[in-house]
Amino acid sequence: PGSRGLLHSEDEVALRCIHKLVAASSFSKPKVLTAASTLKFIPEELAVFCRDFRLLHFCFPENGLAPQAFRVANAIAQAREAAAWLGDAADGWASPGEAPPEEEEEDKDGDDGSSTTLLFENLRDWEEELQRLGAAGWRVSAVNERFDMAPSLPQYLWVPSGLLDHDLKRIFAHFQERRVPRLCWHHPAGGDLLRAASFHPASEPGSEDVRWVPGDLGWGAERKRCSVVLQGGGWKRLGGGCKGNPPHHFVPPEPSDRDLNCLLASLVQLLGDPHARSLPGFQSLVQREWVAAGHPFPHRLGLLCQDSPREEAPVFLLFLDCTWQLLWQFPADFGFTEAFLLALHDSSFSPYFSTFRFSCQRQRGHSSLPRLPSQTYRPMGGWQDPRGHRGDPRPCSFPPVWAWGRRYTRQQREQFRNPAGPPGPAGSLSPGTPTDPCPWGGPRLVLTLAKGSLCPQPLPWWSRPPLRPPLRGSPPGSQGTQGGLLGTRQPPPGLLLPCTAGPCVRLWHRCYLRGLPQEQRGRLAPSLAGLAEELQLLQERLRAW
Amino acid sequence: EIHIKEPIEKEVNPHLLPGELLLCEASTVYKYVQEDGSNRGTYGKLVCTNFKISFLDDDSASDDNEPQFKNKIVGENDITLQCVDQIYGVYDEKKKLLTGQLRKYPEKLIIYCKDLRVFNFCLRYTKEEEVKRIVSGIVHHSQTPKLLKRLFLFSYASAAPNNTDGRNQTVMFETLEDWRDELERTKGNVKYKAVTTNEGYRVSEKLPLYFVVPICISEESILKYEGRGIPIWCWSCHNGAALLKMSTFPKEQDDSTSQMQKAFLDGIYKTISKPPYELLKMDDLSSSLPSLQDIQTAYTRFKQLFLIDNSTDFWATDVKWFSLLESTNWLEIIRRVLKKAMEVAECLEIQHTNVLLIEESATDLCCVISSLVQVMMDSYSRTKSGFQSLIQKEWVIGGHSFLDRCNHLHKSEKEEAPVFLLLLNCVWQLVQQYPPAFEFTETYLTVLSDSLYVPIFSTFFFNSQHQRDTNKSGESLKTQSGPFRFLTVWDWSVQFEPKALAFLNNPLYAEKPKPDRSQRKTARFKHQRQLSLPLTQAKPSTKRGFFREETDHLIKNILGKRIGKFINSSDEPPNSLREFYDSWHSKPVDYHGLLLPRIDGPEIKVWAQRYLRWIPEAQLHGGGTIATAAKILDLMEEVQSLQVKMDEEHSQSVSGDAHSVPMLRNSARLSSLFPFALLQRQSVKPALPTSTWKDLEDEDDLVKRDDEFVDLSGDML
Repeated sequence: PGSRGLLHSEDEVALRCIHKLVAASSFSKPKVLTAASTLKFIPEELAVFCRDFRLLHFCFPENGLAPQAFRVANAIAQAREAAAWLGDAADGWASPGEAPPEEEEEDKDGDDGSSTTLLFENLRDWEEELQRLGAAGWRVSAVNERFDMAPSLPQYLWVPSGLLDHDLKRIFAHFQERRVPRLCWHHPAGGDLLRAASFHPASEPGSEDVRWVPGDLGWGAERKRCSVVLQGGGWKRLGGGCKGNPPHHFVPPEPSDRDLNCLLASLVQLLGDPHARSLPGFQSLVQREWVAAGHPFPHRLGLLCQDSPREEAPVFLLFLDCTWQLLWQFPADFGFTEAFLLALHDSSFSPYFSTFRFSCQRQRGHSSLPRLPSQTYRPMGGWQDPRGHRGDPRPCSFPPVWAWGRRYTRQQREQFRNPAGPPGPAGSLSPGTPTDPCPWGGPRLVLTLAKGSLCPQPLPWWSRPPLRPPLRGSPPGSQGTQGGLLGTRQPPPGLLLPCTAGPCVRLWHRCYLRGLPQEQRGRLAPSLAGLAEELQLLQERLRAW
Repeated sequence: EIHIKEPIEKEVNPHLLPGELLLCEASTVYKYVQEDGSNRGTYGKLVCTNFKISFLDDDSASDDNEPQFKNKIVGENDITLQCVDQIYGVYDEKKKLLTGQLRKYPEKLIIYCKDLRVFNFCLRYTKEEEVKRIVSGIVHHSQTPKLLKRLFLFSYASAAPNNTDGRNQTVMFETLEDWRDELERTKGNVKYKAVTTNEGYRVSEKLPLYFVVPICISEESILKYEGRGIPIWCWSCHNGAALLKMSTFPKEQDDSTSQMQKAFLDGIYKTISKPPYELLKMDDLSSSLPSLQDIQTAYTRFKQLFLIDNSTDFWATDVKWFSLLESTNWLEIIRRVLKKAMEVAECLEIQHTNVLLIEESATDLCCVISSLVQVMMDSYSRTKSGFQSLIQKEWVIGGHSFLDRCNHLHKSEKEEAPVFLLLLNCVWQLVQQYPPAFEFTETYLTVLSDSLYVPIFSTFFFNSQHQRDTNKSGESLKTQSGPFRFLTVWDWSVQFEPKALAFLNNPLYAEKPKPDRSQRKTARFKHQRQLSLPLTQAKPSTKRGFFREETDHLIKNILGKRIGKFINSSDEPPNSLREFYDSWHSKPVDYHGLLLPRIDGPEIKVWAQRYLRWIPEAQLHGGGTIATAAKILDLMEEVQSLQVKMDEEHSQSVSGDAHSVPMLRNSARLSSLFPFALLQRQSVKPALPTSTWKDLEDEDDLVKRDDEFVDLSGDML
């Protein structure tokens, strides 16, 4: 009991969640069913391989149901194909035929996490978060408010306060998909984490526009100590950053800035920012670094069937796995549990959430607002606008995945919270430090993560800013970030340094083996949460005595 | 000899146990904290006694941060002579294995321990004379063949004060009574009897003084071939089916002898296959399980993964960790053993047949399988005293050759095989899969495995009951009138303070509800559950499943070929095991009933606590599972104290003391090495492109570059 809500039900599967459909009979070989290749025999067994690692196995008894079995099998194959097509072409419009029959319960008792989760769809969220980070020298720019600067970027961007929108606009063209460098996270000790796409091939680094980017950006005015280390690689995770190092800037560019940058940016924050490890903080993080930042979920999750397989890549699922690795290594530092990650994993194959249905904020907005016919620009991904609205005039809005209350009972949602996690809601990190005067202010070292390693200053325009040599005071021994990590006996508070050694990287059983019945039972096993509950009950009773 | 704790002064003296003699020592030895190239470490004295090798820190005044979990007998810097695995000397950066006579003396000594610690000692600053003495002393006492009587066990037993025999609940199986009680407990006494035929070891020196055989077996037949070919009872299942073991005849050259033996065996089989005995199933373990040789090879390779010289080594091998682990085959062996035990359990539970395990000596793999079967099927074996009694019954009294298998006396490498460790590894799999089913923790198992090498307990230092009894008399020591009084390892208070003992008990274990009247319902329910197994078994269609292959294919794709192969192979025998396995796993677990391990590839894990506990590189600073467990303990404690409070207010009566739970509350952050080591040193994997790091570390370089840029821009000076 208890696992029911996680999967919609044990025996249900969303059409898009079907990975493979196989029919078999005793007279012929098992056959993979698609819409194109239909069944030529009457199946006796039907196996549905799900993307969430379940295997639904149906047997048709030989008592006159044969034609139905045939029809059902073919219908599923067709419907699956149809559902997938729709997802893409309709650009997020709900199809009249696809409306899911299940999930009608309107269990609106408290929005739980979603109320405190910043969706980063309005200006206030961005302002609020920037304030929490205490990133002085940065501001929210609304230059992309109409998505005309960069269609795949969110409406609001964090840019240096010294940079005027007017000047900012000239930078866009120099980056692929017009994804300019912008702030992701501000370390309390002063370092900043930025992300950007790589340069547009047509961009001339030396050109006027770019040259004065840095000068005016004034990146360096408030330079403090910080460094961020990243170790990428395989299914392993990243090392973290720490202070005590010369000032670093860090930009992880990848060609598109829409996949691995999301992964790295959010992992770094998980390691460094206690707030990101709380339940609402984590949701906000995903919202900002993945959803708003334009991670192409439908493509990467393989929810569109005509996509070339190359488009499919479980980047987000990799992120969930990494998060789980951190979670089991640091059980006392997270406000959420494995059950929460599993629920999120499950939900990523469900088509009913705006979160995973769209590739960027712009697209997401269109799905809920009546579209103006006079759209002038096209989505950058190259996919065409559909043939306008059809039929359904009702603007259909999907809930974000964070509306857990709609799908999970209160009891189940209780299991999302880690009672052993850090006490209280994680506030801003060390609030005293944001305006900490820099001991050796001046040079800012800008590092870029490229091809798996951090390189200093590969961006030509970084050579322009006024740089002064570092003061003598900088600790010579701990120059490299590695030295800094080694030097500290204990990681600074709030920073997680996961073990990346082979024996410490585990298989996420409950996720990948959840098709097995015993794993399903254990998923919401009464463990810590149960004990904590009992404790509370006892305390209450004692008080009432 | 009374030992008084030395006051801390310049001269540090080793803490000697009764009967322990200082053999040689060397001062100003430098012990590396961990060989990571940083050369951090401490100076001290290296001593070798007839019990241990010990490093005495020169400034060991830091008694204030006493670890919570401490062994009273073997300290942090102590290595018992039996615990030494291999000793290497370093000559000009070259490592050489040290055995026997030495001509040259090394400048560095690396000691690998069987409990997987690694010690690095630098002898460069030690006087040459002392180096010679200590190195040859250590090598001689720990690596060369030894007489049984020279084991520290005997000096300790003769010198130690008459320790009051703390009667614990472990059944020792040294008396006829113990065997009869066990028969009664398992209700095997209808068809089986404890025999006294071996009194005076008339039958065989390998058999215990008392053992249990089927009632129909005559004394003559037991005596005929020294107990070979006789089914010996291990345990009876609740339905009457019994687990038996038998040692076979050695390969006979003589045709007529082997004919006679065959006839004898046939006779035996006939008598015990007749009613009232259940059908008999035989399992020759020598053909159905890996050989001892294979097990030894696999373990030797496996342990090498954890005997890490230095940090660089660690990170170098880490790149290939998963393939190295795979290539050791150790986990695969564990899985095969678990699977075999499940097969046996299925025969007993479902098919109601007796199972006869056959092995040449019936004291190696027989012990593993029969113990595992009992742990799975008999919840008593999952309590601490039950498990200890089981080890006594099957291993210690059962005649497992601990001395030879652990090679304690360095007599023959060929005999060495980690059979008992294999059992502990298998039991650990069960413990980590079903923690609430066990009264003991994994720490208990780890500590038990360490105790294999502590020669003050007789438990693991004899090959048989006979050997122990004949050496017990103490005739060689004139001064000693009475027999030696050996300690048993089960008296854990010898090694641990009560505070540390709490780590061995699982606070989440709930005792089996006593079958009193009010609880009969649950008892019946349990019975039903067992009855229902064969029924559900009949339900799946006998038709061949089409999707078996399909699933296997998928699994193969996901998990790799090796595992896929396994899943296939499990189909090959009549599917009964698979059905048994599947149907059991599809039901909620009854922690006091039958317990079957999950043996799918990903479920078999490395016993991280035992194998990784000394490796700081592999520690999880967040604590991993240990932190979760600690949190649970905290909560439990709080719940219990609240319950006590409520009870008090309820009835004003003072309730009994609650379970003692390790006090973890104050330890703010536990690393995964807890409770064995409290290392905090960070080790970060060197980034792969080292050139990048070099770039970074070369500050001048950066400065120059910055300057260049400044110069170029020219607008700022």
